[in-house]
Amino acid sequence: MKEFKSLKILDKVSFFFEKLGINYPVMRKIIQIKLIMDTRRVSTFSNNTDKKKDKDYFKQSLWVYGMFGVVIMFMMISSNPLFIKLNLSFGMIMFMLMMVMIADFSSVLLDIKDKMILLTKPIDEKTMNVAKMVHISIYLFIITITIAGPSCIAGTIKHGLLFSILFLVELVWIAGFMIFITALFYFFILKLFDGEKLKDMINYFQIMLSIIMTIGYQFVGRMFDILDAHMMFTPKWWNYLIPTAWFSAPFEVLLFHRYESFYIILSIMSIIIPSICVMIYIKKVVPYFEKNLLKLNGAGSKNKKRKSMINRLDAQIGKIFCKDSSERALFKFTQTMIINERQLKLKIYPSITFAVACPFIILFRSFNSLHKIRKEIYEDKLYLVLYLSIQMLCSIYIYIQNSENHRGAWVYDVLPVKNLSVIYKGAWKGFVIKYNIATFIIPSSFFIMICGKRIFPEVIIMFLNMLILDLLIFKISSKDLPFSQDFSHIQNNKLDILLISLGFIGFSVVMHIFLRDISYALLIYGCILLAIFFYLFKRVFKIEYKEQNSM
Amino acid sequence: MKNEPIITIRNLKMKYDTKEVLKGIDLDIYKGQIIGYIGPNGAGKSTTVKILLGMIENYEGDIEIFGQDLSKEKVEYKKKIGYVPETAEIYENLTACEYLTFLGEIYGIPLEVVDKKAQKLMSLFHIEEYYHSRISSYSKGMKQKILIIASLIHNPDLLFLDEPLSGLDANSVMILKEILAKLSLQGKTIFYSSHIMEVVEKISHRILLLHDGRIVADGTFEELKNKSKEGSLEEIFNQLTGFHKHKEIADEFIHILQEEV
Repeated sequence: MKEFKSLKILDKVSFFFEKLGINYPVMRKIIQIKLIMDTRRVSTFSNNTDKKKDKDYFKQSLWVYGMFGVVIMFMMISSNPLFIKLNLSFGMIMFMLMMVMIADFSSVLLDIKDKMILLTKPIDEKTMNVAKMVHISIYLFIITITIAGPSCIAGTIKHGLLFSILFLVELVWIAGFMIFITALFYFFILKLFDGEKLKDMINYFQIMLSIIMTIGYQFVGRMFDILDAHMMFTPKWWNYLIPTAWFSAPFEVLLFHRYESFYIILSIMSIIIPSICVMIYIKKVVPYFEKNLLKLNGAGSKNKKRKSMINRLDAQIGKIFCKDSSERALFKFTQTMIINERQLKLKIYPSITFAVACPFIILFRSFNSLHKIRKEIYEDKLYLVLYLSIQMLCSIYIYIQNSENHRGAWVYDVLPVKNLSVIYKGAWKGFVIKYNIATFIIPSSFFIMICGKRIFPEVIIMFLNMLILDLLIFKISSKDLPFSQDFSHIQNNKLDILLISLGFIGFSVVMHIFLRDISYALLIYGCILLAIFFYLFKRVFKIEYKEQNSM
Repeated sequence: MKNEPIITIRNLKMKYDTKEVLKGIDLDIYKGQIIGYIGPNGAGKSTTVKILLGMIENYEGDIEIFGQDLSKEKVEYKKKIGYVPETAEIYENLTACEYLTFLGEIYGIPLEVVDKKAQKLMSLFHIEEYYHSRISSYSKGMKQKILIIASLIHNPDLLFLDEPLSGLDANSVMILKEILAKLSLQGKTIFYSSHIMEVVEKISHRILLLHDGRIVADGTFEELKNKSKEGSLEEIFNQLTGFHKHKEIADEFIHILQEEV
């Protein structure tokens, strides 16, 4: 079995565990298999799930965290007062830790298999619990060091060795504090809702985390603007309520010898509050989890049928666009699958968010007056950034072939569907209407609001281009049935799809700019696009059974 | 052989919140018996097993296993126990090799020994080529085979099996039944719980029927048959759990199927 460095370090202090009455060899075994499983757990960021190689997914995700660590480091380099810098970077470190804990480590914190598997073996509960705690600590230690390491180095260079000692000690307290906060989050969700809800919440955090990881970098530039604006710090009473202030205060006291009561009180808080939290965690929260984790299995939760406005609207739209009843069934099936499949949401929602948000991000690079922005957008044709959104939205289509429960796809084989095109058509319509058309309305109506009616015809042109691109992507993507493949099965022609869609978008943008100012040209262009759309629509769904089978 | 009880349970009660799951169970289990432990869903079967395995602790009553008080001896006795859970709880990200050797070492078997043993056992089930594949890629039957091997690898004296046949093909079922019969001849005790009455009827030396937190029948199949004057264990089960309506429900079911929309 694989040996881990962390275990070798642990061996050196094995006497400590033995003194506590823990069966060290057994504990070591448990931690070892847990670490092996960590390397195999696919993290939120690993997109390429290459099954053949025994890849270390954990190490892979560490690279991403490390990059974020470098971003946080920039905080430390700026010329602001140390107290402010520390507040900012501790804030980011704490935020990241919590995100990572919830998104990637929830399976460890909320493990119910442990009890079933380990407690039936000759392992005492104490050894099992300590093994779990040590495992979490090892994980947290590595993550914290990757995220905070760069800042620590930068700070040490600037402020000396004492800084690094203080910083590392503070990190231990912060990590403990974050475990408590995360556990508290689980605690309330489990108390108020059931296990399914908690899994949903964890899923949303995963989605948020991957959005932050993609969009976060966009703000690095903005961050420097803020940092350049030389901030001054004056203590205020509410600072006592901010955790980052507690952890930053000891630096003021010990590095700069500022013995004002403000900093001293904060420093004391930084030690006392996390200690109390960890005590509460061990004494109250852990036993609660032990008892209530079974709730996670979710058995016996009786949900009422949800009937919202949106559901009814979706059903109405389905009726309008799908005449065939099996096609309508697929339409609805596709939409409900995407809403309910957590793994699928994790792939799709960040792209959708990005597609909706990227026009806004590009606009607010600089804070100008509304009037200026309006002029800028129209004259610099900035609204053409919508084409980027279109490209992103359309490319999501390839994911609907994947599913966690792809084995359920046998239903297609047993269903009496004569014509496969009904399945594809229903799924395509369900996806495009809800996840492309409905989503596209948000950024495009925003631009119409800013620039006025005059760009409305142009938005229509973009809209038609989107529909055509959707059909094109369907045409070139492999014809696996919707939700019939494992996530490790990625389109083998993913690159082709990317290149073709980018090429198409590029061509559309050129056409758009070229025809924009010629009168009636847009109208004719629109008619041509419409004709192409209907022509393609009639053709792409004619699929021979063989074509699907041969894939 | 019947003189040394391996498990004694006295007045065992268990509550989940306010719901009483076990309402007072008295039981002596002797060496070398195969005990068919049956009962409707929610009767408290798995709760009893979980208590005996030390997974649930806040029960009332006295339990002795291998002559030792369960409330005092919590770890060592598990070295002599094997368990096949109903739901395939298993660390699926590990390979069979990693999982089985891990458990073996916990049971105190040297790595090389358990490694060889595991491979040999897997080859008897014809799955040796998957020894180094992750369990997550296994079929249902293969996972079940791993669970069975894992429960037996340390040659335990007491076995708890919860639906051990689920997912196994007919040949493997025959192998397992034979293994169980031979183990019981060697003096091992087997707690067999299942919903498939035909199997329980055939392999058990003694049948315990649990209903609503109490033992409502206890004896050999023959004894139960004489008492209740029913022909099969299934019918005895229906009679003792007070269930007579299966015909009416089936009729109703079919009636609904045929309704015109």
